[in-house]
Amino acid sequence: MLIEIENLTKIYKMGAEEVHALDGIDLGIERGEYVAIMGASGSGKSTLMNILGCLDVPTSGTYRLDGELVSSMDDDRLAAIRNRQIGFVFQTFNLLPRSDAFHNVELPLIYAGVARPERRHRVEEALVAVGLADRTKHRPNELSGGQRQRVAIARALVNAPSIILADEPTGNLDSRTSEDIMVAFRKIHDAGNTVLLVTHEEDIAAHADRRVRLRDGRIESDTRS
Amino acid sequence: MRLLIEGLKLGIAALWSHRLRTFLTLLGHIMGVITVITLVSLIQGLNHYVSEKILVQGANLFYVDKIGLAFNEEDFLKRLRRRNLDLSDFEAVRTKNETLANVGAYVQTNATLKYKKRKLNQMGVVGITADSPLFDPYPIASGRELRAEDTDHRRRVVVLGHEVAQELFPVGDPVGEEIRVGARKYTVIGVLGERGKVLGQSTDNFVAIPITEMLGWFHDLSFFTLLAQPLPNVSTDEAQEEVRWILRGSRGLRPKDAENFEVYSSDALMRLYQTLTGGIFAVLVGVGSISLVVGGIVIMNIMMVSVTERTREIGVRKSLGARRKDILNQFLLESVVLTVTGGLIGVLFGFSVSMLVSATTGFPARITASATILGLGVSAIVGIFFGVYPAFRAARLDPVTALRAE
Repeated sequence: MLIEIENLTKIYKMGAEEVHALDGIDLGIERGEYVAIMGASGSGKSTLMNILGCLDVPTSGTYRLDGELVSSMDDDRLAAIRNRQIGFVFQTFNLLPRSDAFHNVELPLIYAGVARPERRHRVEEALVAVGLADRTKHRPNELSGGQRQRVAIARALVNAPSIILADEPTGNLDSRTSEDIMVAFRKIHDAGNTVLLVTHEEDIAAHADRRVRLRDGRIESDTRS
Repeated sequence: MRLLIEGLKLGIAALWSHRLRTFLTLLGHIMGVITVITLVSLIQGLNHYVSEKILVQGANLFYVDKIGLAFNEEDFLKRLRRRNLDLSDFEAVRTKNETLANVGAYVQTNATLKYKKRKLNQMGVVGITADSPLFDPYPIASGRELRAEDTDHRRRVVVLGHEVAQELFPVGDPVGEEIRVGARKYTVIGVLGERGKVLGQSTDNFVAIPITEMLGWFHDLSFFTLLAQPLPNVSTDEAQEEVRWILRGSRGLRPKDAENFEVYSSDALMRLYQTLTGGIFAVLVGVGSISLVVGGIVIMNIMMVSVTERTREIGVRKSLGARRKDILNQFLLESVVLTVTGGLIGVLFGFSVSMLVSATTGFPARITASATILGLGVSAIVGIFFGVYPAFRAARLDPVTALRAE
């Protein structure tokens, strides 16, 4: 089991009131799965994604990633996990605006302490994989939305993580580009990667093999196609 | 190291992308560095200049007179009542010493100099023994120096300082001419080379006559001074010790009597100068440094703005695996790049300003490696000191919140 979640809760304090964003979640995901996590806004899917992505820690419950108990790790160890195990793809791309495609993709390798020649090799490989071999010197504002998201995907892939975690990856793209991106994710999955897709759109979620629906901080349904 | 170079590149890029803002932010710091560097250059220039002038006759040279370096009026008046030194003391040292390369004696006063219609008031008149080390820094320009035969026979001969020669003899060679020193007539036998000004004061406006002749009409020996130069292989301390013993003998002091004369070296004069000026200089530089603090606060402010502006970027970096330390280093490095750049500009301008001051006022300035290192080093410290809080704030940001920032 790659991801093992047991009785996970996340409680936010809003003044005197407590908000149960996650209210006892149990979830297991095998290596190589393609899972869509779905739910309306407020369902807790963003909170779950943050915890799955090791950006946040749960209030209670356990989260094991690849056998490691990440739910009780400190900041720096979480950073190391994010660096090695998780590849994020965001709705708003989140590329560094002043850096070119190459440097954006290179960043996770820099934080991983990979040497320069090795970095160059792997960055180029990742950019070729998303079809942007000829755009390495372009900055984000010189790229189309679809190209930007491909750079972000290359960045997510470059450190060979255990999970690709995509948060509404097509939210800012037109429908044709969205299709292209979803094809890219399918390819990534077919290459053996575990892909987690967080979305509220049914037709996007339809690309995944398994759909986990959240409602009010609990899992409402878990279906496979 | 890899991250350091990466951080350095990042820092430079981040600052370069806001060139105008960077420059305006740095202005305060640059001004501060200019102030400090200018002050330090002028102070170092002055120190160097003074030491060069004081030590020009050699650091191992020493003086003996009855007053010495008196630091207060009481000491001065007490010492003034001591028995004068005179030529017999000089003769004792000259004949008995085994450690000196050279020894001389001199007294000085002021007198009016006249040549035909030309007149110079209140010029220094130095009565001096032949071959005195006092004139070592003044190579003879024309004619000859005072010799033993001049002092032995109390000849009425005079050697002119460069400036005196120029004033009294705008044209023609003074050697062989006759001038008046006070009421007496002297034959010019030589002219000294030019030494220039020390702190705006000419050092060439005096005349020298045989001390034996001078003592015929000048009787105030309060400031009769011996000047001694040890042999090359003898330490100053050793030579001073010997001179003390000779003088104790020549002045009839018993072993338990206190010395009634003072021995002091060029070194001691230099130390006196440093004691007198060190405090003032430290305060000056300290006051100048206040502007560095003001500049640093501006930098801290702009770094805070930079952190706020780049909250999202920090979130992205954290999501990609940047640890707190990485973010801290990134912003710290950026702040240091900022201040060291400012420091570099400040050092260059500071040197230019000191050169300008030097050129326009004649005040001696001196550009040194230590001032450069000081400027850059202080800049780096300012960068770290005022950058650490903003960098810490950046490092501590929660990744989820940071990613949500606009």
